[in-house]
Amino acid sequence: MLKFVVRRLLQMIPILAILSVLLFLFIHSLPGGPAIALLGERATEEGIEQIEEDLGLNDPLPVQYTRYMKNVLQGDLGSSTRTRQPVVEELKQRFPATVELGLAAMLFAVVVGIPLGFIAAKRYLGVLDNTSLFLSLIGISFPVFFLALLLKYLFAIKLGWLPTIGRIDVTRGLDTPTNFYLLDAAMARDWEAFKDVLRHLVLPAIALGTIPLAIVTRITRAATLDVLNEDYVRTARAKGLDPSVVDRRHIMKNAMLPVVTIIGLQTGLLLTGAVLTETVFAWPGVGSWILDAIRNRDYAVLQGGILFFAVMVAVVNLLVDVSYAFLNPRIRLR
Amino acid sequence: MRKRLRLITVLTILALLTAACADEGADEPTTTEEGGGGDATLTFGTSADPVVLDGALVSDGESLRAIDQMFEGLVTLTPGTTEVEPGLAESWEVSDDGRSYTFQLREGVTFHDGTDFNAEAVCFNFDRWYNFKGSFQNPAASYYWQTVFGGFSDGKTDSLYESCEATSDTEVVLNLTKNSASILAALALTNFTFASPEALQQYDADKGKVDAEGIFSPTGTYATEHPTGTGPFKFESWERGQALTMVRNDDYWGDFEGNIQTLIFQPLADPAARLQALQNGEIQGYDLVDPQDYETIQGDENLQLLNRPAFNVGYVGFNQAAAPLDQLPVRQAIAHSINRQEVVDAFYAGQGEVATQFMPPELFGYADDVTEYEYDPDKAAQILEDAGIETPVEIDFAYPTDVERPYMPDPQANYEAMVADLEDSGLFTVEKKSATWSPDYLDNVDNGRYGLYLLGWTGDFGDPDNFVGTFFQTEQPAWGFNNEEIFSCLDEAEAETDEDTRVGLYEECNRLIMDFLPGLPYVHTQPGLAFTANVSGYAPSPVSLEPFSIVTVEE
Amino acid sequence: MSIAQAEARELILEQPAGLWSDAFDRLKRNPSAILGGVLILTFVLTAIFAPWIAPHGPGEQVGSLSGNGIPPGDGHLFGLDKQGRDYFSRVVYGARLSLLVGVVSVGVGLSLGLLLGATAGYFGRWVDNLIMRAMDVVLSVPAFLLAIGLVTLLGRGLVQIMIAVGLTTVPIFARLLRGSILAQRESEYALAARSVGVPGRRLLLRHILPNSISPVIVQGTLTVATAIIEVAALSFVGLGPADPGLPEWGKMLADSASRLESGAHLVLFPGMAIVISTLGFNMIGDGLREAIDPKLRS
Repeated sequence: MLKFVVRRLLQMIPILAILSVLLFLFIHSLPGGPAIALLGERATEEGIEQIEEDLGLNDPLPVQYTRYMKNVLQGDLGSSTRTRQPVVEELKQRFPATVELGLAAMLFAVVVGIPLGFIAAKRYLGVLDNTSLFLSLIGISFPVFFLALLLKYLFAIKLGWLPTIGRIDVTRGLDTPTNFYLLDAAMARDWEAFKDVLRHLVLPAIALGTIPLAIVTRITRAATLDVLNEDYVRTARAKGLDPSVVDRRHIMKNAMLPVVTIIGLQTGLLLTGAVLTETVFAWPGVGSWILDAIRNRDYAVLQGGILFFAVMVAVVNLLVDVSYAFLNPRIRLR
Repeated sequence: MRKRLRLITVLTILALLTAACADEGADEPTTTEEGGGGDATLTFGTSADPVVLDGALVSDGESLRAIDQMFEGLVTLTPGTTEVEPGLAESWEVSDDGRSYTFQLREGVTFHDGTDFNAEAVCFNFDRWYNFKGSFQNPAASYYWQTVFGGFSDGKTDSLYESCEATSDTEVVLNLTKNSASILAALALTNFTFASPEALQQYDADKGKVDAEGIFSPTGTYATEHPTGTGPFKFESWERGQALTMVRNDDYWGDFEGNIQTLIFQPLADPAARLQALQNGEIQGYDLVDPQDYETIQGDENLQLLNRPAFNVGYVGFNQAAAPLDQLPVRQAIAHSINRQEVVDAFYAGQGEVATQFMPPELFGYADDVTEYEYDPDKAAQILEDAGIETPVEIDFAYPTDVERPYMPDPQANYEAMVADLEDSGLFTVEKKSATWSPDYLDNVDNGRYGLYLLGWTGDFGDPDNFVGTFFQTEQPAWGFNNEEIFSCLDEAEAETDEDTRVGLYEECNRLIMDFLPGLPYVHTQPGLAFTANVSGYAPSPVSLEPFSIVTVEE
Repeated sequence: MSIAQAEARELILEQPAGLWSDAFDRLKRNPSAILGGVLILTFVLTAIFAPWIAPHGPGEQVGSLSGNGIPPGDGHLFGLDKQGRDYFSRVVYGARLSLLVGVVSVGVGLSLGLLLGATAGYFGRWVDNLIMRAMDVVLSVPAFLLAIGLVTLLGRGLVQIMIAVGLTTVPIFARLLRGSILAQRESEYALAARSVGVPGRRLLLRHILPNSISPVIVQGTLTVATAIIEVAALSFVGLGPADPGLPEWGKMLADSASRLESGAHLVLFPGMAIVISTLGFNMIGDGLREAIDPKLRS
């Protein structure tokens, strides 16, 4: 087992290394350039040349790449051409926003999806089962941004129940040492702020969590259906065990395994959705940041942001693979 | 934009201009009974974060907007106008040779950190700017210093600046290397506001590092955490992407007419998000209102719409470097084929007017009798036929994405309508192009990679040179023409010191330009600002310098 | 972006059933699949017969320009857009684009993915390792970001967009087919075939591939839905087709995303069109999966 984990871990390194090269090449083959991004509307020929000289953009690519990677390994992702701030600094501020949103979305998906899928399976082919299946298909078919727009319009603008933008009421002045606002508010014992942060989370989390919700519901249902027909469940029932105990101990527990792994697999999906959700809700996370960086040709941000996403996906994939291997030893043989 | 602003000349005329641009609400400020009181909070939705909060190092509007609330210069502009009035200097005298300005400073002014504002502080700031080195000399950093004063102490480029002398605590002499009547107006720029010397030093304003990509980034915390000026608001905190928070400066020397205690700038890139946040009460005001939302805002009794004076022009640029736009009949036919009135009516919500030339009517030098190109496809066909040009003429036409500009709130809508006009006339086939506004689109335009393109301009200063001079005084790849007659006309007009003659010269230039038809101006618009109904006192300015210290929020 | 990617790995562990007629019978009895079929049929017919269904051309100006379009009514079922064009006609023509984009990009992803997956699955060892690690690299970037990057690089023509979206789906198909082939290779009939001396290539082409293909079909159907949404999302972030006049649903929606208040029809109609067409593909894909996949049967 340990050997497998180590091997997987070692495999991760070349993947990320190759990715960093590809990313580097990709960014350097984009039209335009950082010099123009820096100078914006007033780019003059001399200005551009001077900056390109400054930036070392005239050096051969391998030289530039080596320089970049050397810095990355030292925790320096360069500076944003727009804000002139170190990318790492901004990443520190922004990744908690994305993680908080992602976790909230996942929580929504799990808390609603697992019971729903479970009940649907228990009422197999019943009205509730069919309804939940149908709704989950609709959920999957809704583009994240369209759902986000509709949710925002309905619940924030028309009904005025929830805020439309951001993570917190900016007049609140909450001290945010960790940048995980729920955590910060809890640590400061500022429950008003906590409530406010929650209110800001609701709509984006639902928008982002709807597709995972649909998937979790379906997987739970399928997994429960599988388990329901297993011998040990029948045996337990036959023994006259309390049905709720059977549900909990035998069915839920065993059905959870594929569900847990599926949850892990949603990371990429969540990050993708985050780009769109964050844009609609002016959520100051990594997703909207990357999108802005693409528009502004903010090379360092783009590189740093995508690298960050890739590392997150790689780490979660590793965890998933390890848990797969753990659950299903046959996998390791391949 | 395209060419360095020749501010020095531009500003000469500034003072003459004021009435034209003045907003009705720009009366001499009066002190009210409750001035300085109140504890209102106002959250304003901006289109982006500031870059840094050091006036010497920025040139973008969002940075300037924020810095302007916290910092002051020797002189300032009367709110809502381009009229120069005393700021931290109460009065000034100019030497006979025009090269030396003596300013009498206000007494009892302190910086936000409690240190005194005095003549030495003024000279400290001037010396700082003049002695910028390395990356600080990059136009991305010190653009306005270079525009107004030219070079630095290293002498690589001539500088207008000679020296600053603190002749007493409250008297400063600014010496220039040559005569400049316009320097006063230039000093009203937010970029020449004063920072506390102590804070600058303590928080390492001038320290920074150049990273592997060669981008200079300040390592000191001055410009991000400790900007220290003398203005009515002082810095409180700044969380990028979320909020820049400022609080009222209780020790402010002047009258604080409004009642805002806490002023927050929240960046919201999407104009729709700004409107929604306003409707939902999350912000109390925002800039760059989409004209399509004017009706919504005006129809909502909880909201109000303000408009800045029209100080811009939107146009279709023609690049004459390549066929067929080098032929005047083609340009004329294009002009007659586009229904500008329809575009302006549909997409500017009543706040736009069709442009006949490349500068707004409010400016002197505007000519009422330029050649106009009314919408008339038949005439266009006739022109092409007379010139023996085979139709359909193939042209390429580009528009920018991811941008809204005061003169161009919905570029794509304008573009599509114009393309439809051109194609429906049967005279043209259009190759459609687009790119992200910054940097690709601007880069392509600047390097003459488009035939027709949508663009526009918002004035920084009230002078025709800032419009037609910027566009047409030299040969530029974007326009791709070399017309000595126009170039020299504009040179002459710019250099002329007699006001009446100058007006006449610019009128003549405008006539020449519109006969030559280097592009098709189509709109002047009054950009909108939205506030909740309980906000009053905001004074929209043609150059967008708008103090919040005179704003009142009713509870 | 959809269930397709998330469940891709699930599928590779499952044994495909070979009996197609059996599957079709089950499909016929699945009301959700039938509804999906009806939706897709409508979608495809609309796309094919757009010129006959739409009262106007997609670029034809029939009313005056207006900032918020004209709401439905007055002979225009879906109203007019900002450019005074009949919105119903544009939505109808949009079906063509979406169908094209969905099918072509899946075609790109499928063919390349199958090639890679089959190569990896068949040759095994270092070839397999190389290809699958390459797929890992691609998969480590969220698909949508990858698509954004590719479009930025390739340009915003319709063809480039289809290629970009297609490329992002390559790893899914490659993994799927490889997993499936591996499973088939170890299966009893393959062992049997090998033991009687059936040559490797023939075994792959005649036996293993056909038997591995059913999850690919399911995945393909689901991926069409993903592709449609992904192109719409690209448009939403400003990376849609460069020609603004193209009646692409995502672009139509994005152009008016801020108009829910003053011109709701501009947002809702293309939005619903996207939902309905993707729903169709998801339903039928789902039905297919249930029909083919023994695990979901009871």
